[in-house]
Amino acid sequence: MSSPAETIRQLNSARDIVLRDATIYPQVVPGVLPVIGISTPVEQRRWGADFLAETFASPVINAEDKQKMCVGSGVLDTLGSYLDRKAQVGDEEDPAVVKSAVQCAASVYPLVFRHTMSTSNDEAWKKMAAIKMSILRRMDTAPFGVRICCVKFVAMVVQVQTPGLIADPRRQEQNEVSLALVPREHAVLKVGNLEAEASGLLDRLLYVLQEDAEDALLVTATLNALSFIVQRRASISNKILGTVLNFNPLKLASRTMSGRDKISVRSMTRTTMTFLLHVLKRNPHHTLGGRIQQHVERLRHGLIQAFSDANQLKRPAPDDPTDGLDDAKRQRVEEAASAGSATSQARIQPSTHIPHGSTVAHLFTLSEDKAATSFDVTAIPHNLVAQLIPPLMQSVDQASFDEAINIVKSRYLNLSKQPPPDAADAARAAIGDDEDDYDPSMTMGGDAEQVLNRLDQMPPEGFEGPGIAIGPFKLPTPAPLTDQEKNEYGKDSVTHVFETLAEMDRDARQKGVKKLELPKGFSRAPVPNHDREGWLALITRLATRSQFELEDGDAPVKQENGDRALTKKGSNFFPSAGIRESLLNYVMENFRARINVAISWLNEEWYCDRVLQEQKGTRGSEDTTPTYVSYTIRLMDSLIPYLDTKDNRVLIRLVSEIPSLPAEIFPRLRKIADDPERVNLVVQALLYLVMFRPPAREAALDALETLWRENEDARKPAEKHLAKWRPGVVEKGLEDKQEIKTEA
Amino acid sequence: MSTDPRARRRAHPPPPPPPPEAEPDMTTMGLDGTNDRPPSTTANGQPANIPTHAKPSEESFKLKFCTVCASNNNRSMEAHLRLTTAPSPYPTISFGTGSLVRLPGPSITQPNVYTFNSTSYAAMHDELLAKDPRLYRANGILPMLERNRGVKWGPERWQDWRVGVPRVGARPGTGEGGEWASDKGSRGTEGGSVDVVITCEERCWDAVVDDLMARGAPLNRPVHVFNVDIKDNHEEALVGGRAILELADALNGLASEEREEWVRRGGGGRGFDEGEAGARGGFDERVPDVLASWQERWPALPALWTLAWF
Repeated sequence: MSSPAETIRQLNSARDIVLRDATIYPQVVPGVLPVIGISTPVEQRRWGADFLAETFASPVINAEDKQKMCVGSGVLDTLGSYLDRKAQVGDEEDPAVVKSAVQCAASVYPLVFRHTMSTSNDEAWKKMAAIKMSILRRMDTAPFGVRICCVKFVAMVVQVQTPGLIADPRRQEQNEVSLALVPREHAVLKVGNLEAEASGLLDRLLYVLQEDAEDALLVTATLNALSFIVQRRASISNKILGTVLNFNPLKLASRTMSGRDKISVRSMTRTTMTFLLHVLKRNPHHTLGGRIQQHVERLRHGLIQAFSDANQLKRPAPDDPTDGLDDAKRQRVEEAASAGSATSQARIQPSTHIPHGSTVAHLFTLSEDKAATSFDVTAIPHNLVAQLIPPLMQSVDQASFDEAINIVKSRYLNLSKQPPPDAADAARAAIGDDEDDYDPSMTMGGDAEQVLNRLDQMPPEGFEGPGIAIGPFKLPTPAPLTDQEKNEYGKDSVTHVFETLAEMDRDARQKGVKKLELPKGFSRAPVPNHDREGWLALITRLATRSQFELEDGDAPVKQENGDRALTKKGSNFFPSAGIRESLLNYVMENFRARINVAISWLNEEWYCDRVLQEQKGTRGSEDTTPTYVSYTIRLMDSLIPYLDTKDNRVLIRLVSEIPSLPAEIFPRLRKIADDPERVNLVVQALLYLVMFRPPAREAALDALETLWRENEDARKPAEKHLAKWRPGVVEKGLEDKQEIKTEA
Repeated sequence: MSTDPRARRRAHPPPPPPPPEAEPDMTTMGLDGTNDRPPSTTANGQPANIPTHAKPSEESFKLKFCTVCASNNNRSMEAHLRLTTAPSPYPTISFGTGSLVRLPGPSITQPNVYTFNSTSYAAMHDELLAKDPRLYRANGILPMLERNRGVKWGPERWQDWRVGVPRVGARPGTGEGGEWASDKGSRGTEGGSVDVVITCEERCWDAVVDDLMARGAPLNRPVHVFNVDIKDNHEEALVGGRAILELADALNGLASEEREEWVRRGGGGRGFDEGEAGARGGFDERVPDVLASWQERWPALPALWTLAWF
């Protein structure tokens, strides 16, 4: 045989060929086996083990070919010989060879399992069992590099020997190999035994996590290997997850961690977090989702804490200054030093010009030091000042003192010259000095036009010689508005107000019925927030109260008229009448829904009338509420034609909730009853007043009686109620009525 | 360039072993690295005569690396370049975990966006050169793309990587010029899998580990996934690339030491029985040690690690 190096060169070229063409693996693998067998040099065995591991892991060879290769050729024997070298030859196998052999065994295991399942031939299965025993034996003692591969092999065994999901029972070859594919009464594969074995092996795997695992290599290898089982084997995933959730790698974190420990703890913790987050990612509604989330958060915090603590240990404790000076003091000293240098600089060049409109303090201030200028000298008692000044004066340098005097002198002169205010200042004052203001539109670069416009308004710079200084710029006051204009503008503003209201109505409709929780009680602000209710309150009060302040001066004149709504719209026009008209229209547009608006408005009117009356001091003999009455009647008159037979609720609500019932209202109610269909409406409203509004009871009964007497159609329903409330009248009956009629 | 691994062996002189670290057991490296001619016969347990002047046979052993960042442009490519142009070049591939390749544009809201796997660095370079050569040269994008197109054809997306599919011949969907073999670091990664993944950002580490969990580890192959936190700018990428190379050297030194040690001792049997093997510790077990001592040297690049499965 040629030298190992030469052999490997040949083997490598064989590998190159199969890498380029996966279909010839079935020919190459059996041919290679003799060259990599147990009695060949270690280089060849290494190459062979690597090659076999690569071959059976390769995704480009289909499972059928792999299965044939591993069962048909001597692959299993070669693997077995690698693993059992000590028994066969007498010395240990190279860990690198064992490592690759175990990897290969893990890849081969499901293939042999499937082969045994489909053929019931137990020859290959027996070989595989021997390999498995050998691997399990060395799992706890082998070098760590081998042990992690054993972990993966065991994970594979668990995966295969635990029932999984069968995607399609008709197409066996496409299903993932698992115990679920094995028939119950299989001759070789005993389902119960295999499952029990898997369960035991899983416990063995999880043991690593239950112990105070110190070895990051094993822990991370186990976690990464278990991840797939959690995804695919529902029956045992909770068991694994439970163990992982109880696994706390931060237990090992202590203050005296070595570099290796730090790396280990951090790596184990981060791997655990990734493992758990991966579970959550696959299944966001996992039953253990809450616990997983919690555990991940805990680990995250723990990690930060463990390592920030570690950082603190490295630094000398910052809170205890060793030299007795803490940082705050040190900073102050530095600040003072820098401030001192600033003042010395400032003293060199104090301006002889001070801005127009400065105070006397500005005139004499020579320092630009904020601390010095903001110091309130008056806080020092006079006697102290008197004591301080003489020694201070002596210590002042004569030259700088003279300089200071000169500066103040020239400032004073400059001020007294009263420089002509230049146009630039005027323009700046008009536009507003927003040089310093942050303007977001500027940075966007979009509003160059706006900037240009603004610059246009500025006079050209460098144009402000004394010769052509322009006087202060003042816009001419606008001509006073004519009455007509005022009227128009007033109307416009009223329209605006109601447009806003209409918008709110629309919004409310679109958003659906959303009842706002209104604050209860008397002290409800009229516009607590910008909603419909608040806006309505505002409008009604604008309509009713707006004239109070304005009219104080000529109140008597107005009150002579008695009805403010009808006041002549003179020079102090206020569009309250317009608002009232619009309000009335607004209610009438949809009176069924907006009857509450009408009621609150009329309440306001009534209240204002009363307040005015009190102001006038005419409270006494009778309450006069002229505006209220006139608008109530107007509302009734507008409403009556539209009332429907089913509108009894609207009518009852109106007559029961307005603050007082003027006498004029009853004839109008009776008039509704002229329509035979609406008789009941009227009678019910009157009955309600009789029953629940005692102050208006008599008036309502009178109306009812009149109705009974005069209206044929209403007689029957009215009689029923009259009989109860005014029995005498009904008993006297019609002759009375006749009399009245004749009288009338 | 041929993909034949033999050519590689001829092309590159044996690399010097990585500089000895503070680890006590690493101090033997220099010695080990020069005198590990494989024994001619190990089957009988006889130690072979060891020629001290021989080339290290384990030159052929290299850990395979994979570098990962968000767009497979700056950090992962700098590291890719460093790993493949080191005195002892490593088989290296690289990926990005983002959904798209995003390169800075004229403003932060106007990035240049490309698709993974189907846009070459050369195409990006030409497009940006046509757009605004001054801007993209000034912000370092063009020089970066020039570097990248010298390393490999185009950015690849981690999530689309089918581990274990051989990387030989032409890469899928790229037409001419997209031969895997013309990538730097392609030799050794023909098998389509790696031993070590190094991400450049914790977000990418999360994406990689999560993705590996989702894949379900069908290959049963262990992979060490490291994260080295590197800020995404050119300067930090340079520093990070150096640090990653140092980590790779340390890891590879450890792994090849383990293999050579075995051979040197004559294939086990003596002093390397099971009990002692654990005490001595192998490559995988000592990865945290290596990382810890690396971290001491690079405290500004917080590291993270896990053992995942392909």
